[in-house]
Amino acid sequence: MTSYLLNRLVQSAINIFFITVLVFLLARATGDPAASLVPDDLPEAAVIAMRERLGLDQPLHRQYWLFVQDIARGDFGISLQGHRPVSEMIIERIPATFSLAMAALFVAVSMGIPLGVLSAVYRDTFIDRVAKVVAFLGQSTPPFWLAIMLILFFGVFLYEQGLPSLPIAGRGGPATYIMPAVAMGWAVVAGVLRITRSSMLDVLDSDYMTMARAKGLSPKTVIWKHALRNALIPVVTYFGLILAAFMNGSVVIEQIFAWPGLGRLALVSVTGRDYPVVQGVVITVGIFLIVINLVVDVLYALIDPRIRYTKR
Amino acid sequence: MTLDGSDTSASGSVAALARTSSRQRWLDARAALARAPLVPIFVLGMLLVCAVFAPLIAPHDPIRINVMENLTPPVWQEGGSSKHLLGTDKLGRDILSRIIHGSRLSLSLSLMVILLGGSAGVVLGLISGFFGGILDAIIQRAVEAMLALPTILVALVFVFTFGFGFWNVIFILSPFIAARFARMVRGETLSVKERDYVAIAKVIGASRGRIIARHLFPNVANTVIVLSTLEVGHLILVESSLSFLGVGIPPPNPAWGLMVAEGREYIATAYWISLFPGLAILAAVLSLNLFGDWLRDALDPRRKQL
Amino acid sequence: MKQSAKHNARAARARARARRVWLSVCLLAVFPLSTALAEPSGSVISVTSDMAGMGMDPLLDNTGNVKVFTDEIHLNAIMQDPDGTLIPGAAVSWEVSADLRSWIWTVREGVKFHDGSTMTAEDFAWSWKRAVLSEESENPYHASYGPLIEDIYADGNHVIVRTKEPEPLMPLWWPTYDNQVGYVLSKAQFDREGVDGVRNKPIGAGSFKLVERNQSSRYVDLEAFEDHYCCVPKIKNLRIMEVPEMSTRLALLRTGEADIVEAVPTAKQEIEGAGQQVYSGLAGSLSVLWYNYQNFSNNPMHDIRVREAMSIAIDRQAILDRIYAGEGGPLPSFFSGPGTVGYVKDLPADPYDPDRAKQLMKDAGYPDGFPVRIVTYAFDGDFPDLPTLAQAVLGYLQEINIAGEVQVVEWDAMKDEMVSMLKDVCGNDQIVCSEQEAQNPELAGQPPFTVMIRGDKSRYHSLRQNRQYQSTLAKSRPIIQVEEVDAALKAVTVEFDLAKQTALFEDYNRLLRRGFYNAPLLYSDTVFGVSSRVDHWEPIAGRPYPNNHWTISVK
Repeated sequence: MTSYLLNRLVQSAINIFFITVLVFLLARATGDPAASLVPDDLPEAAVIAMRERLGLDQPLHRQYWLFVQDIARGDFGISLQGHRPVSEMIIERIPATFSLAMAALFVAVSMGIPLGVLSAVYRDTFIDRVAKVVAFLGQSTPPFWLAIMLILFFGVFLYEQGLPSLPIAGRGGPATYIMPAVAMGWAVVAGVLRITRSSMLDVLDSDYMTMARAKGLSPKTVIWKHALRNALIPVVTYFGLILAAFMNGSVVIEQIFAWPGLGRLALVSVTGRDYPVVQGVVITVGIFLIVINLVVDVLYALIDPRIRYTKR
Repeated sequence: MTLDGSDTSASGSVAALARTSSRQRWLDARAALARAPLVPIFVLGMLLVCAVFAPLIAPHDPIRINVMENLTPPVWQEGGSSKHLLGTDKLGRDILSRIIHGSRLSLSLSLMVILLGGSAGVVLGLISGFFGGILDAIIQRAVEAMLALPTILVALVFVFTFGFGFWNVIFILSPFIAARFARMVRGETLSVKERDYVAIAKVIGASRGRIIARHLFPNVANTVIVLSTLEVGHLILVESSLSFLGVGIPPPNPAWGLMVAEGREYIATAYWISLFPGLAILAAVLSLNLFGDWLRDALDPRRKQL
Repeated sequence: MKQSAKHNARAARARARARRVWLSVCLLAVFPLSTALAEPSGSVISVTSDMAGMGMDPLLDNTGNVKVFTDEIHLNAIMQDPDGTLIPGAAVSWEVSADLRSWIWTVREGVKFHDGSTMTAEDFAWSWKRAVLSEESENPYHASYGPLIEDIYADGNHVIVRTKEPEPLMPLWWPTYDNQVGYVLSKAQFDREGVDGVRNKPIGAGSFKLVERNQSSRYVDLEAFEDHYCCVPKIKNLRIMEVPEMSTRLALLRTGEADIVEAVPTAKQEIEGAGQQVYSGLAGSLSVLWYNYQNFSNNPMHDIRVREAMSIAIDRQAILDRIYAGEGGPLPSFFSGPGTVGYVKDLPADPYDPDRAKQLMKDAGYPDGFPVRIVTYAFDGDFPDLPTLAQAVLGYLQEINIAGEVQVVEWDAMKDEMVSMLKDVCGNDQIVCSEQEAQNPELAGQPPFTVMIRGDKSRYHSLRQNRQYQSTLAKSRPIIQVEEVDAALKAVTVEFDLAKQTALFEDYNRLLRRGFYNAPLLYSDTVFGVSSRVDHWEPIAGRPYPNNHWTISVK
C-alpha cells in the first residue's frame, strides 16, 4: 500500500511540475502585457517603465525560478489590472466556483444515477433509450446556448407570464444556483449514467445478485440497497474528471450568469493580458484537480485492493 | 479509466479474453446493426453532404452582405420571404446558407484536430503501452498533465499567445486530443499485450514492429474509431464555445458558435439568428454521440459498458 | 417472478419520479422569485459590463469602467453636463496665468466630504499631486502628464499647477472618462488611515457615499449623500453590478432585476420590443476607415479620386439605420465627436454617391477595382461591433468592384501590424518616411491593399500628450504622412489659445475632407437599456458606462 501511495505521490508531483512549466511558458508568450496595459496615447517611455515594474526585463529562466519559489509560498504576484495580490483574488473567487460545482454535482448525480439504474435494469429497452437520450441531450447541447435558453424560459418568460421565476444573474441565495447548476451539471449526466449503468450491470449479473434474490429479498431492495451501493464506488473514482469538466464549463457558464467565480476571472484576465492572474488561476485549478485525482485514487485503492496491482 | 466508460482495468482484460470466436463476433455485429440508430445516422449523413457540397447546396453566398435586407424573419413568419428560408442576420446574410457552410467549418476543424492530435496520441499511446519503462513514465506524465488542465481554460491562454483563427484553434486543441487518445490507446495496448497470442508471437521471435502492426493495432483500431466519433462531437462543442466567447473562429466565417454570439442582442426579437445555429450544433453533436455510442456497442458488445 | 420484479421496479420508479416532482415544486415555492422582495422604492440597480479590478485609488487605477462607481463617490475638479460641456466641479473656475505656464484653479467653498469635514485647497492640491506626480503612482497618466508638470500646490483657496511649457489643453485632462486623476480626495483621511483608507473605504465628496464594495460578488452598494453642494440624488440607494454577458443584461431588464443596463445600439429594438426604454449618451464612440500608403505613388490610394470613391461608396445612413438602429450619426471629422471640444459642427460627412464613385474609379484607371483587405478588431469599448461595421463597409465597396476580405484580429496584433507595415516599407526601423526615402517602396504597391477600421473615443485632449506625438500616433493610428496634413495637425497642437485652437482644428478637419485623406464613418451613441420604472435620467455624453446617477428619478 505504501509503495502505491508513494508512487502516486511522485507521479502527482511530476504532473504539477509539468503544469507549472507549461503555464509559465504559455503565459509569458501571450504577448507583451506592458504594452497592453498602457493607454495608447502614452509614449514609449511609459511602456518601458511598466515593463520594468513587472520584472519582464529579466532572463526567462530567472523569471521561472522566481516564479516557482513564489508559488511554493502561495504568492502568485500582483494582478496587473486589479493592483492586488493574485492569491487574494483567487481565494475570493473559490467559494463561488466551488459551491456552484457542488450544486452541479448534485444535479448530475441526482439525474445521472437514477437514469443509470433505469438504464441498467431495463437494458436495451425503450426506457434505456429514453434515458440515454435525456443524458446525451445534456452532453450535446452547447453550454452557452443552454444557459441562454434557461434564462429566457425560467427567468424571463415565466416572469412575464406572472408565474414564479428564477433569478438570473449573480450569486445570491439558493435560487440563484438553480439555473447555472443545471446548465453545468447536465453536461456530465451522460458520463454518470454510463458509469452507473455499467457497474450496475456488473453487479446485477453477478452471483452476488442471484444469491440475494435467492435469499428472497424483494427486487426493489436488491436494486436500491445492494446493487446501487456497489455501483456508487466507481462514480467516486470519476469525481476528478467530473470536476475537470465543471472547470471547463465554468468559463462560459460564469460569464453568462455573471457568476463571480474562477472561470470568469480566467476569461477576463486572458482578455486583459493580466498574466499573473492567468498563471494563478490555471495553476491553482490544475493542482487542485491533480490533488483530487490523487485522493480519489488512494481512496479507491483502500476500498478495492485489486487496483493497486493493476498497471496504470 | 475515462469518463466515456472505456475499460482499461484488469477486469476488462478478463472480459476481453472471453471474446474468442469470430462467428460470435459476426452474430453480435448483426444484432448491433438491427439496433442501429437511424435518425442520428440520417442526420450525420445530411451533415456530411452539407459539408462536402456546401457551395452547391447553399442557396446564397454565406458572406454576401446586403444591409438593406437585414433582420428578415424566417419564411413562415410575417415579413419573411422564400428567398431566405431561415431569415437573415444583422448584415443581411442568409442564415440557412451560413449554417450549411458552417457544417463544413465544424467538421473540417474537428477532423483536422483528430487527424493531427489523434494520430500523435495513438502513436504515443502505442509506444507508451508497448515499450513501458522510462518512455512510458515520461509520456504518461505529460498526458496526465494535459488531462488535468481544463481544455477551454488552457485554450484561452493558447489563443492569446498565438491569436485566434481556424488553424490556430486546430493547433491549440490537438494536444488535448492527443492526450486523450494516448491514454486510451495505452490502456488498450496494455490489456492486449497481456494476452496469450502476443506472448506467443514474442516467443516465436516476431519483431516488435510486426507485433505492433499485426496484433496490437487492429485491436486498438476499434477503440480509436469509437473515440474519434465521440471526440468529433466534443470538439464541435469546444470550438463553438471558443467562437462564442470571441476567441475561436473569427468573423466573417459562418462558424456556428460565432453565429449564436452574433445574435445575442436579438435573442427575443430576431431569435432566428441564434436559435438555428444552436439547434444545428445540438443536432450534430447529439447524433455523433448517439452514433458513437451505438458504434461502441456494435464493435464490442461483450463489453458491458454503455 | 420476473413479472412482479418488473412491476415492482416500475412502481419504484414512479414513486421516485413523483418524489422528484414534489421536491421541485417545494423548491420553487420556498425559494423566492426573481423579483427580489420588491426593491424598496428609491433603490436603483445599475448594471455595467465590466468593473475590472474594482479599484478606487487614483494612484493605481485608470481602467475606464471602474469609474462607473468611483465617479459617484468622488468629486472631480471639473464635471461635465449631459452635452459634455465642462462645468465647474470642485473647482469653480480656472484660468491661465500671464506667462501661460500656470493654471490657477479656484477651489469651491463649502464642499463637504462624506464624513462631514470640509474640502480645502490642500485636499485638492494633495490629491492631484499624489496621482500625477508622486513616484509611487502607477497610474499611466503619471507617465504622460507627470513630465509636463513642474509642481502642484495650494495657495489660499487656489490650487496652482505649474507646467514646464504652456499647456492649453490642461482643463481637458482631468474630467475625461478614462482616468481618475482629477478626483479630490480627503487628505485628512489619508493622514488618519493611510493608503488602506483611500483604497478600500474612500471618503469622497461625490453624490453618493460608499456603503460596500463587494469584490467577491462583484457589486458596489452606494447611498445618497444629502449634503452635496448641488447634486443630491433623488434616489436613496444605488447598487452597481457587473454582468458581462449582453443577453443576460437585457434579460435582467425584463425581469425587473435591473433598472439601467449597459447595452449596444444593435440591441435597441430588443429593448424597446420588450417595453423598456432606451436612453442614449451622445457620441460615445467614433469609427474611421484609414487608408495606408497614400504617399506612395504605386498604391491606388495615392489617387484622390480613389480615396473619394471609397468613401462615398459607403452608405453611412443605411448602416446607421439598419444596423445601429439610428443611434448615432455619420461622422465628418475625427478625434472628436459631437459634444466634444473640437467637433466641427457645419462640416458634413461624406455623402453616399455610388454612381459618382464608379465614375471616379473609372477615371482613376480602376474600372475593375482592386483587391482590398480590411483589418479591424473587436472591442465594444472603442466602438460597438467593429467587425460588423467592417463587413458592411466591404459590402458597399464591393459595389464599386473593390472586393476582398475582412480580417478580424486582436487589438494588440492590429497595433503591431500598423507599426510593422510602416517599418517594412521605410526600413531602418523608421515609421515615418517619404516615398523617396523608403527602402522598400515596392511593398506599398502589392495587392491586396490594406485599409483599417479603427474605433475611438472622442478624445480631443489626447492631441497634446507629449512632444513625440508622431510616434504615439503611429502606435495607435495610421499616419497619413502627407506633409500638408501633418503640418496642419501640428499647428493645432502648438496653439495655446483655446478659441484659436478650435478654429485651427476645424481647418484641419476641413483639409482632411477636401483631400479625402481618411474616411470617417460613424459616431455611435452609447445606448443604455432603462426599465419602465425609471422616470428620468441624464447620462453624460461620451461615457461608455452608466453614469450621472444622481439625476435618476423613479416612479
